[in-house]
Amino acid sequence: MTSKVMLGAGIVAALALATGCASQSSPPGGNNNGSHKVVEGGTLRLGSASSIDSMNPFVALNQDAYSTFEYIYPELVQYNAQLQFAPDFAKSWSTSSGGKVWTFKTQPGAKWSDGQPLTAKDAAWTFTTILDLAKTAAGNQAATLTNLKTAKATDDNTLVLTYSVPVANVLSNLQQLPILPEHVWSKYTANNGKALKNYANTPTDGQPVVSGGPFELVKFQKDQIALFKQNPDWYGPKPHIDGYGIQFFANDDAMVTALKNGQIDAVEALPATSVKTVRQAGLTVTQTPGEEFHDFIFNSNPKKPKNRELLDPKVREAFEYAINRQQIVKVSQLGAGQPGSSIVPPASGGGWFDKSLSPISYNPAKANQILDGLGYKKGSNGIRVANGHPMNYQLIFPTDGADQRSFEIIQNDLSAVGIKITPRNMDGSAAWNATIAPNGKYLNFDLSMWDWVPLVDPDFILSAMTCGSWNNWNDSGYCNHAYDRLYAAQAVATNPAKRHQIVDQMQQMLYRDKPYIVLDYLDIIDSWSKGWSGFVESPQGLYNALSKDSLVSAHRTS
Amino acid sequence: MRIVRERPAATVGAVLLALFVLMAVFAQWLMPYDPHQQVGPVFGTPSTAHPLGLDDGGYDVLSLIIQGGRISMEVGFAATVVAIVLGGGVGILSGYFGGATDTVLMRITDYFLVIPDIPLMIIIAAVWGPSLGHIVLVIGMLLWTGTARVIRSQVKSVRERVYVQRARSLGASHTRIILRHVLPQVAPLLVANTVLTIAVAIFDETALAFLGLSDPTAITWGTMIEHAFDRTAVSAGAWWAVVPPGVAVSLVIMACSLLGQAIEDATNPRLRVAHLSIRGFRIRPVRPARAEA
Repeated sequence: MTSKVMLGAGIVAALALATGCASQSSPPGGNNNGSHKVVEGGTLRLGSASSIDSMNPFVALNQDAYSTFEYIYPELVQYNAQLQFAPDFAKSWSTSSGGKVWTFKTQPGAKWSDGQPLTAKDAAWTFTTILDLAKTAAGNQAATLTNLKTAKATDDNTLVLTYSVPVANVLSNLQQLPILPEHVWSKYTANNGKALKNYANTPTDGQPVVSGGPFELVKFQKDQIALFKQNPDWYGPKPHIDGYGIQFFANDDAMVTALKNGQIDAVEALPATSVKTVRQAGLTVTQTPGEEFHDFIFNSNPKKPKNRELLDPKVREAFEYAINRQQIVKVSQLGAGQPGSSIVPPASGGGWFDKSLSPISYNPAKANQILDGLGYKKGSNGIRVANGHPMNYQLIFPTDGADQRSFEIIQNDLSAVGIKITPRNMDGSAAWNATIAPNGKYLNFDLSMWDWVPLVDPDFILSAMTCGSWNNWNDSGYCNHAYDRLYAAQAVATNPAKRHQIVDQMQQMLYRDKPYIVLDYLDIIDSWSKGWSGFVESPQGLYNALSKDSLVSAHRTS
Repeated sequence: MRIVRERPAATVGAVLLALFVLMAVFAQWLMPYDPHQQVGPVFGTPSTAHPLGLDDGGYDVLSLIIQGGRISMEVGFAATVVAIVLGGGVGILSGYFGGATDTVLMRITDYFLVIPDIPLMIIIAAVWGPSLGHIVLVIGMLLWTGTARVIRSQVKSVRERVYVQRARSLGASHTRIILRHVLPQVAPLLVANTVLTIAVAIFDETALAFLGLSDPTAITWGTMIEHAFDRTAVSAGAWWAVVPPGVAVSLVIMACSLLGQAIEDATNPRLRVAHLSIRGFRIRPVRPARAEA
């Protein structure tokens, strides 16, 4: 299921993951070590039903890859357990010139795992290289440096970033960016980066990958195993474990069985259906609100020629009343989640979620009342007639992104109020093509379902609803110039209170216009065996790209 | 009927198959619950109310098996019709006309014969998109080769028989000869092949559905197994979500194989000769065995 979700969110989530990462930092010891004894040493065996598609940050898309970069490379900042920014390679930072210039003081005397000095110059080189190659080999990282003009190291421990305009989410962008060793990578960035994407960045001749994080990569076999050992040269606190490994499984069942049998110590994204048996086997299971949500999409392009009643917010409201979202959470997530309201999930932290928004509760009588009020009477077959045609719609169903059981519930719920929906099953890329058809004009489709995995900072998910994201991230055809103006305003609002206000306004706008019905927010379920503790959980699970804390503080208890 | 008497395995197969067909036909009246209505908790355990428990969506497994059998068998039968029409047609034309027609058709058949079925089905199903119609076509288009080969060789012998020669010399048209004289002779073989193909078609449908390439909204035995596997039924201990559809598929395939092989043995003259038949289970010694010296 995990891998399906990853692929399934398809183009959408994959890139969201690529650009998105977050992390948390709390003092070593984590949030769940309780009164357990800390035993030093040992190797932590993680299981994953997803994969690391590449160890090269200029190629990788998968979540597991970015979680791995978090542990083998320095990032300027990270998140703490409350999802606030905390120091990482940058010990402190300040901003001047109205938010256009950012100055970072980096860790003095740091070293790469091969003994070479790790300085602000490596950071400046990494950022400058990405800027230079933004249109070519470094395209997948470029979005995190939007509006950056120059990156300069004024001395070994000072990095100065100059932006062309004030940028509101500088820190959350930089948090996602691994800093690479110039002395290793510079030979691949020559010639406009021709060789950059072909570099595997895996251990060769028994030499580990030159790393600057708490761990170094010593072995990697794609879709099988990745092994890491402690990096003694790291600038941060010494981890309790000697190293860790990730074993990759082709399916959830195999992974859960391995966990139960003690072949692995911990997994994240445990399927909700396995919680009971894993608990019975005596393992620790934790549920944390996650970032992923499922959505029910209305084509919101005002120019759509057919079934125009679906543009009416009242009809959309009737849909929302008709759908039993508690039931969806109960069946598809076994209760590990909650009904949704805003496209900024509450779990993404930073207080960006607008608490004034709450999901409309299930009320088919109200739905019937609204539809009756609009004069859409039921025909002899029980299907309502709107503007002379039956309320019978096709729904684009991406088989690798949307949830089958949720769809079945929605189909039954809508049929109970006289609306028929029929799925058109296709894979993610076909679903995307059907959404923007014809020729990127969003004229053909009526309804669809999909999922998103947003980042901690709301900028990205908010951008997906702008006119400018048509044919890019926008999967609803929503285009509202007032919304777009707010989006532009929040991007340069360096005052957090001001930005919060704008972001709330945008969420309310979407809640009112309903391009999406946000169906549910999914919890992320972690599990580890007896004898382990100290993990720092997050909306991305215990092995995440948000901070280096989880595996630094993880430890044996016996 | 003689077949049934001589081969008890055929009786077993015929009865089993008949039971499944009846189950599919009367599905509406046999299902204890609506298979599209969630009637209890996810992976609810078997009980008197739900003898086979509930699946990962809270649907009654027994009702799903009955409804799934209906669609699985519809797909299997429809794919078989495609395969038999194609295979029978190619076999008869190729065997009857011989010469260039035979060469061309048989080379095409050879191509299809050497294509590994399942990988090609996976590719086509993935390219065309998940739908039951596509599954029927894909399976049908890949299962006709065996039938074509068997029918062709039989037609080749029928066409040389004296009464066919006479009909031809009396001026009967090709169509008439094929329909009146050739087809009746190869019909039993076609029937046997049909029953055997059904087994393969149902198996293939299940396999494709399990791989997520069938229509995920249709209830078939394959999608039942897929859903269960997707939601970790095995490690969750919900064996009732996996085992019943698996057993149902096995039973239908077994029934078809038993019946099909019995009909084939009884009607295919080549198979009736024991010295080459692996299905006869009788080895006739070349000479009576005699102790040394």
